[in-house]
Amino acid sequence: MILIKKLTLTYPGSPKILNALDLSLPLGKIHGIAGLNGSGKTTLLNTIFGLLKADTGTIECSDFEINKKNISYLPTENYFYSNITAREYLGLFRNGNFELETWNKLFGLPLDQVTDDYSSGMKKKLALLGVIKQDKQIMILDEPFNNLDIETSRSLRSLLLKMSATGKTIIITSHIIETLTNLCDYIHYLDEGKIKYSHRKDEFVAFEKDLLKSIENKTEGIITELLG
Amino acid sequence: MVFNQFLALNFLQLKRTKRLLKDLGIFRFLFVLAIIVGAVFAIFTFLLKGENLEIAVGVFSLLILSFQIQRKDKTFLDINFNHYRIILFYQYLLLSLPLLCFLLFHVEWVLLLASFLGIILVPFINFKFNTQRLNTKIQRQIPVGAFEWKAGMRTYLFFIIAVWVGGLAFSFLPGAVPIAIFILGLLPLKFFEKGEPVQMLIAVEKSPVKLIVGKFKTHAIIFTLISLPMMLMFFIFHSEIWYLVFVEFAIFLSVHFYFILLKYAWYIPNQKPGSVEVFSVIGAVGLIIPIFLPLVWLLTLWFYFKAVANLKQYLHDFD
Repeated sequence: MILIKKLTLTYPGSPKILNALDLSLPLGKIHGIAGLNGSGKTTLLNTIFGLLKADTGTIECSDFEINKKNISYLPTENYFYSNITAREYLGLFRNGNFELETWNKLFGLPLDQVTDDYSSGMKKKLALLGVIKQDKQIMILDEPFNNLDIETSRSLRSLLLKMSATGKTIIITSHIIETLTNLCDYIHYLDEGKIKYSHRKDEFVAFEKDLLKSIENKTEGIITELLG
Repeated sequence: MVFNQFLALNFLQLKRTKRLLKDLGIFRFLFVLAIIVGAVFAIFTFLLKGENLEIAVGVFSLLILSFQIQRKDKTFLDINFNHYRIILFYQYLLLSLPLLCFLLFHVEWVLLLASFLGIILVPFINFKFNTQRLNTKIQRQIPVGAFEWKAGMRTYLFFIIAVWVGGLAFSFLPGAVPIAIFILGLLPLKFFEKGEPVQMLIAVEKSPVKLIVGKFKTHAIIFTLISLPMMLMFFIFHSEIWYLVFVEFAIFLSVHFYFILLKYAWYIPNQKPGSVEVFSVIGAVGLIIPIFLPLVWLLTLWFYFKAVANLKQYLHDFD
């Protein structure tokens, strides 16, 4: 179990992004972090991974240390050196057991092409391959389905489910709620720097219905005012 | 393990450079090579004199520091490598080796030790100007067409103000204003690195020539407004050498035009093409080693015609 207790983080001159946030993440499961734009999803992931240091609070794990040795991370925006090929990029990550050609059957990337010529979807696939190659206990994926075509999205979904079945813990964010409900074992809804709800798979239908209803109630009046 | 990662990264850098040079073509490659050899020779001659070493260490420290602050792969390295700061340390040590050898050759133990300590400390510097939300009156005064300045000011406003105030406050010292103009003259070079989205280019609804002239005009006005108060103070305090800062200002302005034209000569929406990177180095060399300035001016002329031709494919409807 990963236990996050009283996590607080403030950017200078801004309100608290994370506000005494408590969260329990059972290991070997897929966890979805949901929330509106700017609710702090990426900040939470950055803090779990260690890119950001929380003002207060703790992140602990019962089975291993929470550090880069055990976590691989896919940020929303991925950096690629210019003028390098996909094969060279992946060569930066050490893993003797990783069979690149076999894995690439899933993504179909032109591995010997320089990444500058890649589309945003291809870049996302390449970054995903890099994360997979690292083969860590925990995978943190920030918006992994962004820019992916329908075929790769389906493949990635199956892949993540299989990886979770082998004991990996996967934490993902998505701004599309259906992506999370179709994939995750738990969904944690982030609002005003705290986890407002945590739902198990069997509660997703009711959760999704309630969420969509509350959003409709909120926006219906504004749309009527705008368009009559 | 860490050393292997460092080797892998450097091997990758070599491959990148090789591809970049291959893209340049043989003639441009020879041209760039000649410039680099000339620059290395000039620096070598400069460093052979022991009394120049302090200046060299100062300039080199500033360059490394600015590189560390601005490099874009820090988060990538932090995410993917366990001890990325050691990798950065190895990289900076490798870059500093020629200078360290010179210091050793001149038996400058204090400078050697200070440089080595600096190389150890630089990888720990990781601050960002957290100014994305900055929207002061100063930014609002900048015309929309000069979006490069609006964005640049948002990132560097506090730094620009600090240097500007420092230049004015210490203008009674002969070095203060020239140094302030030098620093403030270097900053805009970064503003014109990357091509804007094509929508922004088209939105102004101007022909290529009018677009370029408009860019020159707004840039010249902004840079003059920033530099003029300092130049006047220099004129008051150091009237016997007043022309120095005016020459410096004119040189910078000409190099800024070079960079504006460079961006549009190889303009690709949202990108910074390899050729821009290479020719940026030549522009920067022109500022540091003035014998290369005539070359920069010649290239400026060439870039003008190339920029007009290149922009036509996006702006031909407004001709």
